[in-house]
Amino acid sequence: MSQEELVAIQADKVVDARGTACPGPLLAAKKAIAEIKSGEVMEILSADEGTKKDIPKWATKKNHEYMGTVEESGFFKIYLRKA
Amino acid sequence: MPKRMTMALFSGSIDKLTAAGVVLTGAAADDMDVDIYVLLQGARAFRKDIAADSTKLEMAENPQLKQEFLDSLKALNVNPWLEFFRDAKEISNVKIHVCGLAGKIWGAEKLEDFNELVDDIVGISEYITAAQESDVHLFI
Amino acid sequence: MEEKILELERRIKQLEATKKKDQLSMVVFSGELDKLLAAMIIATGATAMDMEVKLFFTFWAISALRDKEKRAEKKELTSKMFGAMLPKGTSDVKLSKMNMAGAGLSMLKSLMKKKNVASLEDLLQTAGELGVEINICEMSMNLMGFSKDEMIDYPKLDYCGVGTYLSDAEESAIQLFI
Repeated sequence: MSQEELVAIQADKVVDARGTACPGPLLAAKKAIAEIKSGEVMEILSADEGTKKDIPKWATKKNHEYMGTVEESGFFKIYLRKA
Repeated sequence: MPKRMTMALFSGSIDKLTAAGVVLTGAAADDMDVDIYVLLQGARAFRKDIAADSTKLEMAENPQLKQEFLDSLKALNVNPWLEFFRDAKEISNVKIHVCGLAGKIWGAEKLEDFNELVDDIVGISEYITAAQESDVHLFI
Repeated sequence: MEEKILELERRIKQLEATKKKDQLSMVVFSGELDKLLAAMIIATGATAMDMEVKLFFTFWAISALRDKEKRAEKKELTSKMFGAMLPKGTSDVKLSKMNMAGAGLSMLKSLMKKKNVASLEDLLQTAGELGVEINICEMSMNLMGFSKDEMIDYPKLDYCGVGTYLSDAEESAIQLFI
């Protein structure tokens, strides 16, 4: 998915995990994905660089679709679609 | 079948307990079943009065930097070590077993002598069996 | 007959799913010379046995991966002070016990030289050449106040969190915490 397409996504749920260090963002993602329906999109905000590699890996293992990551200044947004 | 992790928590030092807590939470986020066997020094850390006050615990390395370590954790919004164990139990099937002998060494014989997160007091053979059957096995 | 084959196929699939790779995954937590030596000897030894090796450096161990020659920029004050108090690089790390104000350390180092035991620097270089992967825990980097531009040049060096470590650990035949 291109950056433009990602930016245009209206997520069904936004999780702001910018205040936490590893494993905070992963934990927040795990809790929040239970609250959305299959096929819905979740956006995770994080400033923890390790999370960039972690959440896509975790999502793929759980069969969720990792759609991509968008860089912002000082943080980034990760997009997932629930399986 | 969910993946299983067995963790032998021998250390009762604040830096290793923090590292163990991070790994544990990661495993819980991954829906793993986790069995923690709290051994010698670890049993002291889980004693009710000591678990309630992290300052009573030592560092495994760089003991002179304990305050800096704690300050830096706080600045990063990282939870105190026990909270990792609490969070993990909330989201996945995590059981905390304390070695009976280790408990006795620290004067804690009954379940109520330990922090409420502890599930039971066990003998060592349970740990060996769990370690044999698990996907990930760590000795910390 | 057909049923039996199907049953066998199902079992093989199940086995394949749980089968472990010939891989060693190790959390390197300690920043003490003797433990780091042990970790790197196991790691290089495992590659010699044709195993894949993935190291996850966390907490104190990261000190050993700092490059003495490199300067770090932009740090926040608490972590900057913390970082300044921690060893910088392989030549700076100490023994766990019997350090005896450095006497134990120099004794170990001279013994290692005499007996042709590789130094920590050598072991890291060998590990790099043999394709040992090093992943550094991002949270510890922040905790210790280290920055990426002060880390050594190492072929397979990357930064990650605990999720990546666990994915590697799950599929490894051997897991260690040192």
